Amino acid sequence: MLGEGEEKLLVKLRSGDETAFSTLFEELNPRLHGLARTFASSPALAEDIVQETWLAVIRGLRGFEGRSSLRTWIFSILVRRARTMSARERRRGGVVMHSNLSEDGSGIEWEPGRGRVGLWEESPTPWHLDDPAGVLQSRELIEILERALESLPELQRQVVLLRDVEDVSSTEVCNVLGITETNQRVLLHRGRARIRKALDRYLQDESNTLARSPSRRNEGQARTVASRPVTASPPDGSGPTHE
Amino acid sequence: MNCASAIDLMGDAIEGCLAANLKDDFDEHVQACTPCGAYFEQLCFTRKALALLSPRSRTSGRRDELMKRFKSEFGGEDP
Repeated sequence: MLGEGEEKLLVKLRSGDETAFSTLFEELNPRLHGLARTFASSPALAEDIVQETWLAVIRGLRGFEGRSSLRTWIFSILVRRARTMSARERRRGGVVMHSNLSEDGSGIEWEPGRGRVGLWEESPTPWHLDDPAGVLQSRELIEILERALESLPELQRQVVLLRDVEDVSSTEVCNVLGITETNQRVLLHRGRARIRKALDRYLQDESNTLARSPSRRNEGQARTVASRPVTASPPDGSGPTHE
Repeated sequence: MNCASAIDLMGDAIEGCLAANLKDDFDEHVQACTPCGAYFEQLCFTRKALALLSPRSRTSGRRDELMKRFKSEFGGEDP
């Protein structure tokens, strides 16, 4: 399961190469924090989880058998520690867990075979982005994404984080989180759908000039003037509109 | 292909791992069905955006403790 690069890294780590450990730490520590935060009720607990994970990694490096990638092995250690430590924290009392209700609070979550139920109430309309790459680099969009990710129910957030942010394979995510492939697929789709919805609210917002293409800006002006649905208008916005 | 089947396949489709025997029907559906087409395109964008989220770089005040532990474990020094 280990690539050539990881084999070499493992040899260096086991021989006590501090630079190799330091590099691994710098690369993975922020990612571990991101994952730990999905379990922890506080930044301090997340910090403890990450620290405990690293200590377990140091203790376990000699015994690591390479059945998964090094990164996945470390993620797995973190998940086990996080579950134990978060459960302990909850037993101490007073910790409110994320809601598992759907985004609109209806409690209806998407299920395979049910079509759009739980995904959208009003049919999605295209975003018409003129410069998607530019939009992707907008700080505002990143903040919306981060907030949307943060608001997902715990397991959805973990699956989306590992699959789409960390690019961990579905098989490895199932192993790390101890869930079935089917469950993983459903959680991933639900999580992506909620984040899409958050982006949709932002990108369909009439006041958001950053994300709107010139044609949509013209649509907006025409709507204001004509007070009726518009699908297209000429560049100067003065021509006829179409129902 | 109907909307429910197309939606079920969107996860595989945005990852480019849709089974070959389903791809043509799926593509045909999302091209013909405006809501599914828009939803699919937006899911693709969402995934692309998530991939660009980089973890915030953060320093850990406990890094030194870990380095000491590492040295102790692999270099024979006392923790």
